[in-house]
Amino acid sequence: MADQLTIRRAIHGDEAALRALWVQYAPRIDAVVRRLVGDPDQAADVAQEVWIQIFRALPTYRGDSQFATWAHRIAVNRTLNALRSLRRIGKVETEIEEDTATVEHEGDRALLAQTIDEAVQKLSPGARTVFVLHDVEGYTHEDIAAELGITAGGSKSQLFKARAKLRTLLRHLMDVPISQEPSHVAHRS
Amino acid sequence: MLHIAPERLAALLDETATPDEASHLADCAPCSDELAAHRRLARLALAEAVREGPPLNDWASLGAMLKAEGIISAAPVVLARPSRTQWVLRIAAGLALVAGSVVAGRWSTNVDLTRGEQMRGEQTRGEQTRGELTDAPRPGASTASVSTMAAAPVFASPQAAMQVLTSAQQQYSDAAAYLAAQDTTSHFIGLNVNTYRARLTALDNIVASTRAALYQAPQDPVLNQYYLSAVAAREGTLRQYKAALPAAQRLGRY
Repeated sequence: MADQLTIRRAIHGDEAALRALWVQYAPRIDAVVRRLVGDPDQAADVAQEVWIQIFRALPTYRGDSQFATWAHRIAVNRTLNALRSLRRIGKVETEIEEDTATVEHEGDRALLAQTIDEAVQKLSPGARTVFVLHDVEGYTHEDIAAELGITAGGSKSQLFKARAKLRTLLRHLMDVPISQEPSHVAHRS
Repeated sequence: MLHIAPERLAALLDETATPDEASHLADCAPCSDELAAHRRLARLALAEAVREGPPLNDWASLGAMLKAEGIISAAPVVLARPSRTQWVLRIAAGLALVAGSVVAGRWSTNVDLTRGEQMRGEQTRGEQTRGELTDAPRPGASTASVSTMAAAPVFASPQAAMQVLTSAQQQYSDAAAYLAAQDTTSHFIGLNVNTYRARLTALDNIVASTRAALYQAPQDPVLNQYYLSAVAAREGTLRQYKAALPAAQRLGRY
């Protein structure tokens, strides 16, 4: 929990206090930025913008929620703004279709991510954003729709496709013998 | 046999299966395994929310940006202190608080008052003057005597009052440190490790509450007094707690 006196000093521009807040919360805040942005270099740039925004908004922090929660919300909003400015989310619906069509096959498994975190980075930017916001951050489809300027139905559709792809990417971690996998040659509608 | 499509299986984490789908899942091990795998995946995703990683930048670059933005102050930061007038108010409020507490405390300790009556008969006059109990009002005493007892001393100036306050705070700290070193309170009222721990927990809550209150009203004299008292009491209790621990135990951090 952030020390209220540290926050007071930080509001007044005390470098030691600002640094203390950054040291304490950067591991968590930067992690959500990295999950949403994907590309490490772009994530570092966005994280810098996020922290400037957090510190700029400090005087509005009233202490009625935990500092981590307050800062986390700013981080998500600022990151989504940054992604929008990169014109990555605008193409989300078309990208997800292409994305699903290019799911890796058995032979590519050696190249697949070893953890869900790495696997998420292999999703298209739009699919990653919807998946992270819903399944990791706990946003509702209505919230996501409002943030991304899409419909709630569109958010659901993208989420299910993202989950299906992740399931494929992480099949080797899910302990299901290949011989038992559904063939998916024919599916129910 | 038609299996359930992957995206539909992914949707079944949030949506209810149709009767046909439910029937299929009951009979088809591969599809039910897939659904179970999706559930495991959802749990993994949820666990990601609390996973931390290394910062994406270093402070040198971020600090430079913050300086350029004017967020880091170029001059050393000194938080606002109460003005002279506010000091006077602070002292007055503190004294009123102490006086009020003394009155309330004396009126609320009927058992001790009775004991004071007994002591009055047993002790010598010299002993009586040392005992706080001999000055306590008897049940049914007039309000005039109470108001006399609660009367605040008159100070020549705010500086004089401030000196008294500072001196009293120093004496309080010294006495707390002495008692902590001697552990006399444990002999009097049976304090032990558990009671010290409970007191520490309570004091932590008080410190947190008063600190939060100071964030809302940083110059409030009463809140400042409560905060300082709670911090001093916590330090004293921490020393007592450490002293009360068995020799084999060492308190690393509380």
